[in-house]
Amino acid sequence: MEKIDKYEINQNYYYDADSHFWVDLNGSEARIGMSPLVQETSGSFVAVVFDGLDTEVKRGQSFGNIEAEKHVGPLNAPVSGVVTEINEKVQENPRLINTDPYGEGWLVKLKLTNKDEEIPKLIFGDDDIVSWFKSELKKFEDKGWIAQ
Amino acid sequence: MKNWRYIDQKEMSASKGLATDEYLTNLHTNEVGSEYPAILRLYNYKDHSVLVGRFQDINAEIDIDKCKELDFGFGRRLTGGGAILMGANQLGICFTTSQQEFPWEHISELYTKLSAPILDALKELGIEATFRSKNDLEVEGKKIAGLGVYISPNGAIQFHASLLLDFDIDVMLKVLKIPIQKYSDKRKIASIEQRLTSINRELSTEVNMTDLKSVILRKYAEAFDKSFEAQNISTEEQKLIDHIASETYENENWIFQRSPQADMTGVSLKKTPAGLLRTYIGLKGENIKSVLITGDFLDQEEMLSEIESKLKWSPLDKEHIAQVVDKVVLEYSSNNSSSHLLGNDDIVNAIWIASQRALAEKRYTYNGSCYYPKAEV
Repeated sequence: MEKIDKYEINQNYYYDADSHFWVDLNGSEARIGMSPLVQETSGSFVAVVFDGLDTEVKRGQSFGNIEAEKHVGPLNAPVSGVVTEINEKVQENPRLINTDPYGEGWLVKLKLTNKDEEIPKLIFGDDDIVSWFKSELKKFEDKGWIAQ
Repeated sequence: MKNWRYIDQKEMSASKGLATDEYLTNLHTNEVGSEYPAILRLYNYKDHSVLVGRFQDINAEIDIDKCKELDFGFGRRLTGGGAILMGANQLGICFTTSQQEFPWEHISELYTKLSAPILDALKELGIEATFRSKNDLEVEGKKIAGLGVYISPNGAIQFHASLLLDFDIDVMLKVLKIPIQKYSDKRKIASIEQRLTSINRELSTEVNMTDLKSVILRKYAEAFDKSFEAQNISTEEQKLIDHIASETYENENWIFQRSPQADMTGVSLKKTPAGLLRTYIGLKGENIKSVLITGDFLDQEEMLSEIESKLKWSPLDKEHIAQVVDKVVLEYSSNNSSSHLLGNDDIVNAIWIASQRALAEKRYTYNGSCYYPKAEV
């Protein structure tokens, strides 16, 4: 983990630049969660509803819905796969996404269906992750998007 | 430059009003409609319709039996937030668009850009309103409009505002489960009037709905340098909307759905040098859904209302609560000469005790309101 500003970043995971989701790859399976920056800017997460086990999602498609302080919107998958496990703790207490984004705040596990094509599209590696996160953080700060 | 579409409707039923919002949002999906021009829909519901937020427990928020008895519509919105009472004097403002038509990078931008025309309209009418951080527009601490954003899986955006031309406290008290029901009528009314206002309450002359729509439409056109073309819902479109209404908004599975997050409520009663402090709290998971702080000090309700607003949808964290209370009390103290201010610690502790009681009684709220305590403490 590397601390950038006040955010602890896990450099062992893959990151989707658009959605700020992290992907914890383990063979042909992956655990999915949100980077601490996206949850910080969304405010408190209030509700999470997943579409259910065995749901097949394509990269960019929704596997559930979320209500944060600012909006209701979809959870769009950073990689394609079939939902094999849902984090029931985060369903009961969505604030875990805010308070423990890499730990108990994970969302779902997926059995990947297009790994070879999609994983290379994600950001990976210490330098690339740190560089990307710092530039995102600067953009968010410059534009005043960090929740106060 | 394409004109944007304008739709003017009135006396919508709950299900058709909500279905129309969804239909219009879906016109902007990435696959088929990314080029569809933005749409501004100004409308009102039939007297009356009660709408809850996307993930609220409807039984906890509104009195369904009373709604049926009074022949009021009720339903569940796509957008989040709390229960609202809509009718002839509440203007629904629905703006739908796509990323391509209306580029944006962050949710906050949508709120500031899309609520600016409403603030401009209010200013032209003579009301200085401001954006309040938790998605409300307010006039001197009193809410005048609630805002919400829904983003569809395909990236379409629905910005919604409910702007109060006027409101009827008696009707609100009949159908909304709010925690002041046990008060005297005078106290109930005073408590609501301290927290809510409307265009016609702020002005000495009455504004009618037609004029309000006209100024809102003009301000949206000016703000985005666009022309609007009035284009009503066609017969074909209405068939599709009716289908959405029947499949979703009239479907009990949608209306009465429950989210996995438990709703919890708690109450505390505390004697302070300033008087009796009664605090209600509604939690959803570890988030504060709502706080209501009342007592024998109506002159300080503006300050308490500000604390309530700032704590709404914030984390249940004592340090955070203390920071909010300290900040608001400081602001209020510097602008107010009252010598009977409540102590900061009294307020923080009252909120905290109520929250701990809520957590201790973790439960779903099928048997009553998420606001209403089960018994007096």
